[in-house]
Amino acid sequence: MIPLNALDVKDLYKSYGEFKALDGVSFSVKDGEIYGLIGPNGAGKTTALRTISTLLTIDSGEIDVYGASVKREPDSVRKIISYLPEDAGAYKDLTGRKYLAFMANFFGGGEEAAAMVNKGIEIADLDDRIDSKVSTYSKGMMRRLLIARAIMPQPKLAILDEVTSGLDVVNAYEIRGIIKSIAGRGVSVLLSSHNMFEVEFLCDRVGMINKGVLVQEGTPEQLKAKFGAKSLEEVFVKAVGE
Amino acid sequence: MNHLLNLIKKELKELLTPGTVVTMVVMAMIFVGMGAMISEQSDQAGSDVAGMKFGYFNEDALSGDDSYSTDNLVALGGTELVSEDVSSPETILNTLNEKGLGFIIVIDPDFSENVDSAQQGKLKVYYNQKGLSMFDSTSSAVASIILTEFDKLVSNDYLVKNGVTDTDFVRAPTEIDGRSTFLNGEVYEGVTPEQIVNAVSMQQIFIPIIMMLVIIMIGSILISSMGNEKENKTLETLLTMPVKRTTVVAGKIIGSAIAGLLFALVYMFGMYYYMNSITGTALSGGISLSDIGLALSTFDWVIVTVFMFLSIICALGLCMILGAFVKDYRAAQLYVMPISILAIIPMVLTVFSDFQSMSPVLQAVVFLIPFSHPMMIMNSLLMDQTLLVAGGLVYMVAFALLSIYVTVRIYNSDILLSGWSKMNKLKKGLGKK
Repeated sequence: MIPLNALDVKDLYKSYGEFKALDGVSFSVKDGEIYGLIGPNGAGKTTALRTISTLLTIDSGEIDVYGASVKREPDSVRKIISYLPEDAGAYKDLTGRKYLAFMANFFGGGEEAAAMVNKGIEIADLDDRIDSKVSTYSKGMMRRLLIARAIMPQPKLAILDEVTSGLDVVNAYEIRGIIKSIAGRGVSVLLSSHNMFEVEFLCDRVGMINKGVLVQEGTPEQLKAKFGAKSLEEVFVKAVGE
Repeated sequence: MNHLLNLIKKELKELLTPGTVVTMVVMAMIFVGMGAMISEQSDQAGSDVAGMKFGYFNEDALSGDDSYSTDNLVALGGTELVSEDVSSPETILNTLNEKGLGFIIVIDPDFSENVDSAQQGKLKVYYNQKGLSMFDSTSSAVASIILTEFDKLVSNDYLVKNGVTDTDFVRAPTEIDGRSTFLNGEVYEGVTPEQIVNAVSMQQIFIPIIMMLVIIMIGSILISSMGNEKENKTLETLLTMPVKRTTVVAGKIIGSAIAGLLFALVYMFGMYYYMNSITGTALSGGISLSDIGLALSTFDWVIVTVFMFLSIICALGLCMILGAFVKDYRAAQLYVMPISILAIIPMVLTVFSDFQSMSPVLQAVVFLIPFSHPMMIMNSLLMDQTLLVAGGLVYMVAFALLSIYVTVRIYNSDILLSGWSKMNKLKKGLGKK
């Protein structure tokens, strides 16, 4: 039996008025894979991630997450995904622990939720500050809390938009470590990033998107070989420039 | 159900922050303080009236039995002044202040001569007003009483001089032997329409004021919280949770409605104290509605509460729709304005006018604003306007359901994230058709 792909995007179209944000995008994420979606600002990365996360409607095309259709079974999809928007925040009047508890209650109650919160606290690694109000957190602490929130329910597919954007070197390094470790524990990851070194370090495969069209796809090594480039950054410039 | 409770708890935590709770309590305490101040002022005004002194300077050329003024002024108990006390406006002012007088009466030299020749005797009155509050007009009120009494004494003397023995009868040959007012098919004994209107308007004004305050406050908090949710992308995260959109909407509305009712109860406590403080003062018309059998029953109060709750739900539905278009916290403040205007218009109209006496256009405007109905409900119940009460109830339920339906549709669409771009697309699509 062929295992289900974590994600299948087929011929996806999405417009805002006259503007075509996604123009027939197709790609797949395999089970347990880290897939990176890269592209310039306004290329359609966030629209693609929001559409997959059931936040935006689909104009045409199909999206299946582990066989569940985003269009027809959005409630089923939401049970197995976890989405972390770019520059996201948390409820400022809650403490980190209470924020995790609030989110955990959507996935179960009682001991199940308590276990989830403990796992989240462990991932966030904020020590005593987990009991401080979120409004007092630095950007790095906030991102660790949100990553913990996204991972603690053990989603089948984690969708992370510009997850290390704006973080300092140490925090970005630690967040990348967390992402790498969850992929090894059966969580498939779809992420978008501007940081080519990060994508090359983290991703098994990469899709390059420009003006709503997926222009290149492959492993970092395949893409570098195809364009005779030393880095993904060079591949990106050459691919987008073509 | 657990998801709904989880969301309601979160909404309450967000809405009932220390800042909003302090604002709410301070507002209620302001009403309580205002009531206490008015009550104190009223008591002060009462003791001022009782203890108010006045002075008089009699220039009447006639004296003794020929004078209509000398003995009568003494009988009124005023302080007699000398000509130096009233020689100029400055000396009059000094006399008023130094002797602690509320007013001074100066009798004209031709006073008695004029009365004798059946012409009105002239006098001047100088008042000492301390401020501009409602209770600072007591000097003229007391002067009116004193001068009416003086008038009576002078007319008595005149009648006696002219051979009339029963002076009281000549001055008042008729007597009102009971007053009854017919209102809405009912008869109310011992009161005038003016007293009823004063009592009703003073005792029902607090519902429109409370509703206006609650709607503006809860609207502002909810729209701002949606602005915050969008800015921090917490709403985006919430909408990807395994929970139905209807539950998310219900959580927001129920949580906000509970907070709104809490605000309303706290404000009502403040307003109740305020109204109690002024009941019995001149401001309340001197009577209470229950004394004349024109008070609301327990069932009526249940209807009032239902109307207030429905109105809050309508306001929240509108706020949710408006909040869907808010981009961030700053922009949220602008979106509160339509809600505030919709709350202020019926408040002003219903306080200063009666629905039945409005023009048909104004009636339509007031009826269509869902917040008008709780503002008019006390009047409608007192006047047994069943059709207006039932119509208002049906309209508010329909409005609340429609606004919730539209909100759920918005939460299931792209508008929440892409704002107007989707709307523009729809407009263009309709234009092409």
